[in-house]
Parts: sequence; C-alpha cells; structure tokens
Amino acid sequence: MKISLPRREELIKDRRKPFRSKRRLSGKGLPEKDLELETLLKQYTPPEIRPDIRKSQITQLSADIRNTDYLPRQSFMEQILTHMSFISGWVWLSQAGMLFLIFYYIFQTELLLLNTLLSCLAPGLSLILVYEVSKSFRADIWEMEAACRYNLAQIFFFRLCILFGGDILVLTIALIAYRMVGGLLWQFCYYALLPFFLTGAVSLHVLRRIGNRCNSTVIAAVPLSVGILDFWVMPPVEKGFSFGGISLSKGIPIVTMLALFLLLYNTLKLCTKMHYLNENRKDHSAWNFE
Amino acid sequence: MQDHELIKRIRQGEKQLFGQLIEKYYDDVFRYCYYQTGNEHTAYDCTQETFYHLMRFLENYREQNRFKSYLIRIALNVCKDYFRKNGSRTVSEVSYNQWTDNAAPGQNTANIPPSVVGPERDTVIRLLVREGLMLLSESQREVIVLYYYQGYKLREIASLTGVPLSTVKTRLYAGTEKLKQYLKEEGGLI
Repeated sequence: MKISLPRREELIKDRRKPFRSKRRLSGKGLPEKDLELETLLKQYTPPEIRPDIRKSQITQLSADIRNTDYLPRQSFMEQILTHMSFISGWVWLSQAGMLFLIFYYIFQTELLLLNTLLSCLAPGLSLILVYEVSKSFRADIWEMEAACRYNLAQIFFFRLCILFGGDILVLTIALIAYRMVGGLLWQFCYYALLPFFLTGAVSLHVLRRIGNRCNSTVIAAVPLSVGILDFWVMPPVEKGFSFGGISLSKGIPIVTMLALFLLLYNTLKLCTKMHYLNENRKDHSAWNFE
Repeated sequence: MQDHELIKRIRQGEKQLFGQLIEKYYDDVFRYCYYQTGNEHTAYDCTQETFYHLMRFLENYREQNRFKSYLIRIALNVCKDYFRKNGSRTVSEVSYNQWTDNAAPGQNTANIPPSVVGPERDTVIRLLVREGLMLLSESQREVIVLYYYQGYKLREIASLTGVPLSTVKTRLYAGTEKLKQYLKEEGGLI
C-alpha cells in the first residue's frame, strides 16, 4: 500500500496556522468551560479602597508633582551617551585588546600569519557585540524598561549603534594598518570583514528567533562555526581559487557586501519589527515610550 | 475633561491638574496591583509607585488615546519590579490554608463542605481563588488578570506585556489549566 506523506510546503503551511482552540467557543470568545472559571474569578473582588489612604496618596502625589521636573526629551547624542554608560567595561577593554594585538603583530609577522590572526579576531569582535546585546534579552533589562523611558527595541537600537560604532572604529584602524603593510583590500574583506559581518548577521538572526532562550553556548557557537568555516575555506582561497570565472578580488567584496546586507537586515528587524512589540505589524507605535 | 487635554495642560505647567488624573485612574490601577500582588498594602504601595513613575515620565507620553493602557503597562512593570525586589510571592493576609487548618477534625478539606454556605462560602471561594492566583507564575497571573479582570483582548495583552500573541495564548492556557486544577483539587469547585 502506498502511503502518501504530506509535502514539506504543506507541513510548513500547517505549522504557520494560528492557534485555534478545538473546544467550542462561546461568549466573548472564551472556551465553554472557562466561563465557569470566569464566574469563579469574578467572585474574588479586591477590598474596598480605603478613602483615607486614597486621599492621602493623592494629596501626597499632587504635592510631589509640584516639586518634580519632568525628565526632558533627549537628543540622539544624549540618548547614545545614556546608553553608553550601561555598556560593560570589558567590551571596551576587549576591543582595545584586539587593536593592541593587531598592532603588535602587524609590523612583526608576515602577512599570512596576520591574516590568520584577523580571521580569528573578526568573529570574536562580533561575539562581543552579540553577547552584550543578548544581555538585554536574558536579563529582560527591567531596570530600564521599568522606568518606561525606553522600550526594548530602542535599547537594542542604541546598544547596536554604540557597539557597531566601536567595532567599525577597530576595523577601520585595522584596515589602515593592514594596507600599510601591503595587504590588499579584498584580502582584508575576506579575513576580517566577511567573518565579522557573517557572524553578526547569523548571531542577530538567532537572537531574534530564540530571544531570551539564547544562552552563552548558543552565542559562542555561531562565531566558532564561522571561524571553523573560515579555516576550512581558507586554503583554496589562498591558492587563488576562482568561482565561475569571477576573480577573488571581485568575488570577495561582493560576498562581503551581501553579508553586510544580511547584517543590516537583521539589525533593522531586531530594532524595528520585534514581533513581541508589534504582533500585528501594523501598529508600529503601539506603545509610546520614547 | 478628556485625558489628552488634561495631559497637555499638565505638561504646559498646570501641575495641579495631576490630582484629577490620579483621581480618575486610581481605582483601576489599585485593582490591577491588588490582583497582581494579592496583598492590599502592597497594592497601595505599587499604585503610588505607578503614579510616581507616570509623574516622572509624563513628558515622554505620546497621545494615542490609550492612556489607561499606558498606565497599566507602568503598573505591570512596577509590580514586576516589586516581585524582583521582594521575591515572587507576597504574604496574603488570610490564606485558604489557614481556613483549612481550622477545619473540624476528620473534615475533608479537599472540598468545601456543603455545610459552608452563604457569605462564608463566598469568602472561602475568594481565598481559594486568591491562593490559586498566587500559585501561578508571575507571567501567567499577569495574563489572567489582564484577560479576566481588566477585560483586555489577547492581542492587547501581547502588546502590553511585550510578548508574542502565541506566548500570551500559551500562558493563558497553562494558567487557566493550573488554576482550574487547583480549584478542583482544593475546593471541588470545577
């Protein structure tokens, strides 16, 4: 007997179907039995508000507001500076350490070794960024959200701005040094930029998908995989491998641009279309915390 | 006076109008805080804290005719903060367990006895529901309170709590199942 298996597309389509309770719905869309629960829950009423406490609190609050200055709206730079103070010190230290390493070796070793060093450091640079950003997911960053001043998307945006700013600075300095010792641009793209962009894009995608379940192991796995992939692909590249007649000097920058596009796409998605902030995707400013 | 007008005038400097805003929403915020914390005194504290937060960040409020939701969101965060600082449970003034401890020897405390009728039965149910709610995880209780007591739709709760709609549904389902099981086992109510 021939058994027909559902096609992959059907399975995917099925998985995307919205949740539907199999129980009969009634009333305001509650399952039948839950109305019974609702009746029970409604019997639990809060105590009568004590007028004396109510009055004293309102008086106290009204008096306090007279002495309170609202926190003013902040400019972009002010917001960046505010968020900068929340970035851990080890991020700056690690970035400075990486720069030191690059400068230490750049004038001492041959280009091949320097390339290997760059290939190792680039995913690490991305790892620092993703690890720092993921802390907002894992710690739920209540300390700032509770203040209702920023929402999580904004926190991500500012953190990414700061961290990318730092990383770009490191990479720019590294590029200048690399060019000074005779390295080619496509080589720098291949050994530093591509692993950095790729790690960042994949990590942010993973972060976006699995949110607060993202732990250190998952975060570390991505740069490690990219690093391994890098070392695996490195020997044929060094031998001057060409793909379909496209030379490496043209092909690598194109692939790097693609990786950059992927990184920007994931960054943008993380900051603007966070599914848990805008489920229907129409109501982008559902919550007005600036 | 409409909320947006009131807020606009407070922002313009008529701070004495803030009292009116609190008067209007005090009860709603208190009710939410009470259901969330299960303790009257804590509810008063959280209510006051909510308005303090509102006071400081009123300048950042952008008018969308959702002021109550904005306020509830603040209350929600204040309660979360409270639980973070004080542990996940609050001490209920009178617990259902205390009531069962006082039951006559040999009496089956797994169900509310038929002899308990009228106001006393209502009190017992109230205690039972409160205990049940406090047994739920903070996030499950949050969804149940917003859904059953505050009357928000699931999509609105998703926006309020900042989690996907599917997560809200899962929490609601898990929470109601746990609550029903508790009410059934402890009081034979469902």
